[in-house]
Parts: sequence; structure tokens; C-alpha cells
Amino acid sequence: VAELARDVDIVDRVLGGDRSAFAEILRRHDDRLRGLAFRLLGGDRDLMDDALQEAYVRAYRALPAFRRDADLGSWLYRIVYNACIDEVRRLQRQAAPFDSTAAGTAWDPASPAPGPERAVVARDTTARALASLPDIHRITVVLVDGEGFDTQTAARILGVAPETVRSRLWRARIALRRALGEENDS
Amino acid sequence: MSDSDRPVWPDQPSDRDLSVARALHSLPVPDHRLGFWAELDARLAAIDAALAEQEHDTGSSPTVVEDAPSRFDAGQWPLAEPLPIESGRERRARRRRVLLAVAVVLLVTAAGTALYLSRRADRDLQPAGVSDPTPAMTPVPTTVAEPAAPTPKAAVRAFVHTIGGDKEAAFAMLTAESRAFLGSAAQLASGFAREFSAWNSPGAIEQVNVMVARSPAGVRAAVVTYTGTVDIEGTPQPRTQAFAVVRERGAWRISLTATSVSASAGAAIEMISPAVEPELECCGIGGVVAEGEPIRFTVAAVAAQIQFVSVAFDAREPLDPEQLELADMVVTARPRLATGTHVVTIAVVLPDGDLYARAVQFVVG
Repeated sequence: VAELARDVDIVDRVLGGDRSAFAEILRRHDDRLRGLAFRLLGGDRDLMDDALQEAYVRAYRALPAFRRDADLGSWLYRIVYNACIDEVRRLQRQAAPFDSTAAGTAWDPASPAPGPERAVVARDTTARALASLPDIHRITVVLVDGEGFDTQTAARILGVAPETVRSRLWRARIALRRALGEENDS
Repeated sequence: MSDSDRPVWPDQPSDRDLSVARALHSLPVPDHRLGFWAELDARLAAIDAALAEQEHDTGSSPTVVEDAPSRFDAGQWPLAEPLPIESGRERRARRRRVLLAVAVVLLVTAAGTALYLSRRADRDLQPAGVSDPTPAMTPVPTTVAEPAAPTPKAAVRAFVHTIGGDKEAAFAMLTAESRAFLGSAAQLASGFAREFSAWNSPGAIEQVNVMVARSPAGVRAAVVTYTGTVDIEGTPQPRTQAFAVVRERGAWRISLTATSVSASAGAAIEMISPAVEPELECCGIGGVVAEGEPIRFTVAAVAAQIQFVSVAFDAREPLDPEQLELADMVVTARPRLATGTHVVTIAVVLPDGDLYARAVQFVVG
């Protein structure tokens, strides 16, 4: 409740003309929103920043209509999600072919504590594996496995049937594991 | 969309695959690129400047109090940053900002008086919300250099015709926001020319619908929808495409930011029913809905008000606002449609004049 009241107070300050308060809003939520955008956009920082620029501008413009009883974090989350999907569609980019010849040791889910060097390589591998997924598979797996939404909620977000989410999820996980596994084998 | 449908911070056990989840969260999330906050600062300042100008133009009180800071203090942003060394992307972004700033300055100075007069003239014309704007929308005198199309339909026809040849002229037919978004005629050419000029082929256009968008006072917008079959690299593709047209500086101008899936704001309207597979987003082709099943879509912009949501089927007049249901961000329409192929055209205008539009072809059966 205190958090909600604080959000409303900050929103009121922005609407009252104190635009610096908008920076305060972003400061509180940027870490989480960056994570969402980064994963949805396949680990591409430039795309992440482009989408967040757009999202924050949209949020600034839409703030007068923000409902006082709503959760500001969820509201921003939705805007950022939409901006990321827009970015995906705008680019209509083809998934880069996975470079199975890349050097390095792959992520191994069975290994609980990789050393620092191994962890760096694993993260890079994961980023490339994620980027290699078809957009809609990546978005689905990020929403469910990355963000923790259940399939029903993910279905509502994506505007598809839960069965479709499960199907995409299954394919995404298979592809992701295969990409990671292939790299592991190389 | 009800509150329960909105994404919330996920905190419940879900259908997660924990090993995949661990892999995803092993990705270190980078900080923003240098210049991110400065770029955002400039964009928000431009919005405030444009709003202030609009308020001044319409004679109402500005919403920003006079003692508010004129711009964000860099130190107030999450990360104060040094002057960036520009990458190519940043240079492009800077060019966009400069274009936007130039557009604002032009509005304030050279075109200010003309804008005021043209808006006054525009308000005397028929308000939005009728089925076909052509008879009522008399051309108004304009002071801009480029020729002004007399109707939204003519503006789209001219734009589609021009983009296949003179890219600079086509670029000049865009709204200021779309020009700022693209940055240059070259961007327009590389991103949109082939898509739009495909409509120039003989017989490509099978149906043209025009819908005037219900809009707040001072905003005039329409959506022109082309339906037909275009030839893409020798392959005929059925397509439905919405062109958003906005009255700006005394002329009907094309807003790419309002419609295309290639523009950032294009997906502000997301179809629920009929659903549109991502692979067919490009082509405005939706799925099948059962007879009597409602048409539903989400409006990402939370500022949407039902009286400024326009929904028209085929060449019919837009539904009345009372025929639409807006529950949070989901709009539901319950048209009576015969079995067969139909086209729905949707427009949403926000209180600040932002326009979102799209059109989808679908089948009732």
C-alpha cells in the first residue's frame, strides 16, 4: 500500500509539471524493465535501448491516463513489453544462424557452480542460443521461463490459446536445449 | 483487458522449466548505451515543447507549470553520463532529434501563424465520425510548399504513387512525427518503398475503404484501407493495409508511426479475435471467427477513450461508441456479419492526438 501511495505521489508530481519525477519513476523500475527487454530482444543491447526509449516516451505521454489504483510497475511492464514486440515486428529480423563452430564451453545445466571463465562463455552461448530462436518462440519462452508467467497468463498476453503457448514453449525449449547442447558438443 | 489479464510482476510458481530459466537469468543485462538518457531527455523535452505549443495554439492553459524545470537535469537520471562518443546508431538518433527539433522550431516560427489559421479553418469543417469524409472535407488553403491532396483517399493514392519514384517527395508527404521517426527519405525508401509501391500494379487494389477516425477537438484523422493482391518478388500475396492520414499543417499527411508493422507504434492495436499469426502481420491477414463471435482487440495505449475508438467493417460507417465495449485495454465489437471475408478497420486517437490504426482481413464462417 505504501508503495502504491508512493507511486501515485510521484505520478502526481510529474503531472503537476515536475518532469524530474519521471526520472525517479524510471530509476525505480529500469533494472527490471531492462532485463525484460534484453531477453525479449535476444540479448541485443541496441535493440533493448531502442525499445526502452520508445517505451519510456510512450509512458511519459500516457501518464495522464494512468489509473491511480493500478500498479505502476505492471503498467510500465506492459508498455515495455509492447514496445519490445513492436521492435521485433519492426525489424522482422531473421534469426541469425547459430554458429555451432564457435569456440568455448557451453552452458551445462547440470553444473551447479561454473568457474568465472566458464560462466562468461556460458552467458555468451545462452545469448546466441536465445537469439537463434524464432521471434515468437523466444518471446514465449522468455515470458514463461524467463519472467515466470504461467501459460494461461502468457496466452492472454500473447492473444493466443493456452495450447498454442504450450506448443510454442515446447518447441522453444527443444530448440534452446539443442542449440546449447550442440554448442556443448562442439 | 481486465486487471487480472495484465502482466504483473510474476511471483507465483509457474510452468517454468527451471533449467531454461536458469540459463535465461544467467544472461547479464547490460546497462544502457552511452547517450541513452540524454537522448530520452531530448525526446521528452521535445514532447513538452510540442504540447506547450499546441496549448498555446489552441489558447488553453498549458499543463506544465511555469516554474517547472525546462528539461531534465542530467543528474536526476538514473546514471549521469559523460558526453558520448557517437556510434553510427547514435548519430542516426541524433539526426532524428535534430529533425524533431527543427520540426518544432518550424511549427513555432515559420509555420506558426499558418498552423493556427489552418486549424481554425479545419474546425469549421465536418467533424470526424462520418462514413466517408470525401464529400464534406473541402480542401483548405495551405501555405506549405508541397501540393495538398484534397481528401485522405487522394493523399494515400498520391503517396503510394510517389513513393515508387520520387522518395524525397514521398517523404514530404509524411507527418512530422513520421519524418522524425524515419530520419530521412533514404530510410523511407529502404524500409517502405517496395511494400507500398506494390499497390501501384494494375489490379492490385480490389477494395478501398475510408474511415474517419473519431478524434478529440483539433485533431482530424482518417484511415484509408487497401485490400487486394500485391505482387512480391513474383509471388501474388493477398494483403490488407491501413494507411493512417492526419490533417497537419493544412494538408492530409501519411502517418507511418500510426500503422505499419514496420513502425514502432504499429502494434499498439493487437488483435485478439480474429487472431493474426505473426507471420501474417505484414499482410493484414487474420484468422477465422465464428458467426456471431465478437471482434476483440487490445489497445496498448492506456489513455484510450471509447469515444475516440473507431471500428468499421468493410465499407460501412464506423460503429457508434455505444456499440463498443472498452474494458481496460480490450475493445469488443459485436457486429452482425454474414459468412465470408470481411475487413475491419480500427483507429484509436489519444487525447494528445496520437493516432494508432490498423486493418485486418478475416473470415466469418
